[in-house]
Amino acid sequence: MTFIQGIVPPHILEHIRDHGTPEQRQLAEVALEQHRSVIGSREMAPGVATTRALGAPPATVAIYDAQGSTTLPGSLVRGDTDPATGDAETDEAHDGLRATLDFYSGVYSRNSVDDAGLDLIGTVHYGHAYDNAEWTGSQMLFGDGDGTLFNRFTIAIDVMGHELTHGVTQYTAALDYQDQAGALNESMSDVFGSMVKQYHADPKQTADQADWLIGAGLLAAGIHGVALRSMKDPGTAYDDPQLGKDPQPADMAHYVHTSDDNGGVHINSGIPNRAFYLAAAGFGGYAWDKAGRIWYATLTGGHLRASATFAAFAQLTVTNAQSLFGADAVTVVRDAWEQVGVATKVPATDGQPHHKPKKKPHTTPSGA
Amino acid sequence: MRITLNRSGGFAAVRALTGEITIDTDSLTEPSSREIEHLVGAVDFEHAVARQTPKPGAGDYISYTLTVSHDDGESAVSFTSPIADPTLQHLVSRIEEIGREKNPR
Ligand SMILES: [Zn+2]
Repeated sequence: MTFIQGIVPPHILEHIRDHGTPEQRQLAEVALEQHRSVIGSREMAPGVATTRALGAPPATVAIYDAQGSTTLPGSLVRGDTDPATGDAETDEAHDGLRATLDFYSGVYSRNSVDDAGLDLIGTVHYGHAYDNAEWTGSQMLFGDGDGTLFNRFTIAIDVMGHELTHGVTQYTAALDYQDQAGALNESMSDVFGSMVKQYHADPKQTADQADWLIGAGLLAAGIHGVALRSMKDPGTAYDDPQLGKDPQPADMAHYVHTSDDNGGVHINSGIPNRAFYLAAAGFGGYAWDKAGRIWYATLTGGHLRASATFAAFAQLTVTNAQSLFGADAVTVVRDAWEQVGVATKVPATDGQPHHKPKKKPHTTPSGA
Repeated sequence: MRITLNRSGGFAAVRALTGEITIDTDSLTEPSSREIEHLVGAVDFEHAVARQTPKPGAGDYISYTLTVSHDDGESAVSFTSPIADPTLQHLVSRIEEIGREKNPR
């Protein structure tokens, strides 16, 4: 059985387990279990010393079903290469996570959350009428929604992009989930989640074509609102007697000081979200080409501290705008932050605008 | 017995799903009251709750604080989703259900 482990990729093992002879199935299950425990031990030290495995095989996506329970991960219902199951949650989660992996790989040459091909697990039908989607630190889970306030949480592709990006943040800047750093952590998930939606639209959407909504379709019928958050117009996504009103501020003058929600991480993320939208709109074209590349370099470049403030993050985007695209890009990015009330300085330059590097930005683990 | 459940955070983080639910078991129907008091007694708070801090890097978890007040005094515990302990999960779900019945949408 040793020959199976470590040579055969997990999605093949899953296929063997599901379709092989009884003996093959047993061997495959053992190998998969060993694979899972290796993955588990890798997760023990997130963001630390994950040597970038060049040439690591592309990550796989596996969807599990908790069948209304809160047992994780539940039972496997769709492996990486399995066909659609016909269950909306299963297929949306699978396709959304696959789309997110493809976005990171195709645009930023990133191989999964750890950039070393970490296989991904999503659990659907988690809990009874559960109104949430989460990244647990090692997997994603999606609730069915209660049907009165929320539909199923897999309904919008950016929700999968959002949750998977929490994993990317965990393995890169490892932003604290508290106060401004936490709001930046949330904003990273909205920024990249939104770009996943734009990238996978048919045809692909430019910054001015995108709706910049997070969770479009997630609000149940009869709820007054268009989505959960608006990156373009924070605070305008919903206003409903049952649900409440979208509490997101659009600029620093309206920053919300609260101890709830880890210091308002899902509230104040409106400020950096809008800065990203403004930068993307300022550049024009596809968001991932310039604004996205600058934000990605900021998140993964090794200079962003875990406790970063909005101002520190903003200044790093300006520095990266300079090194990636030159002085004109600096103006666009500084204008975007200025409009949300975050001041930045002109970066020190050698007077030579740099050109876009051929290689992707080097990824350094957290603690920088 | 008076029980207060405070909830915050979550991916949606909307007002309807957050904030405080307070129930007094004296004001519940006999079966509901018995069920809640049984669940409170059955949860191994020290053990169940100790395992319920968010893992590094976790996002969009819901933060809960459960306060139980009775004649002997008051005790409070804090934990986050996903709740691994099935009894604690059941207690939280029942309190949320009762909260919805008290304030029907
Ligand atoms: Zn999040």
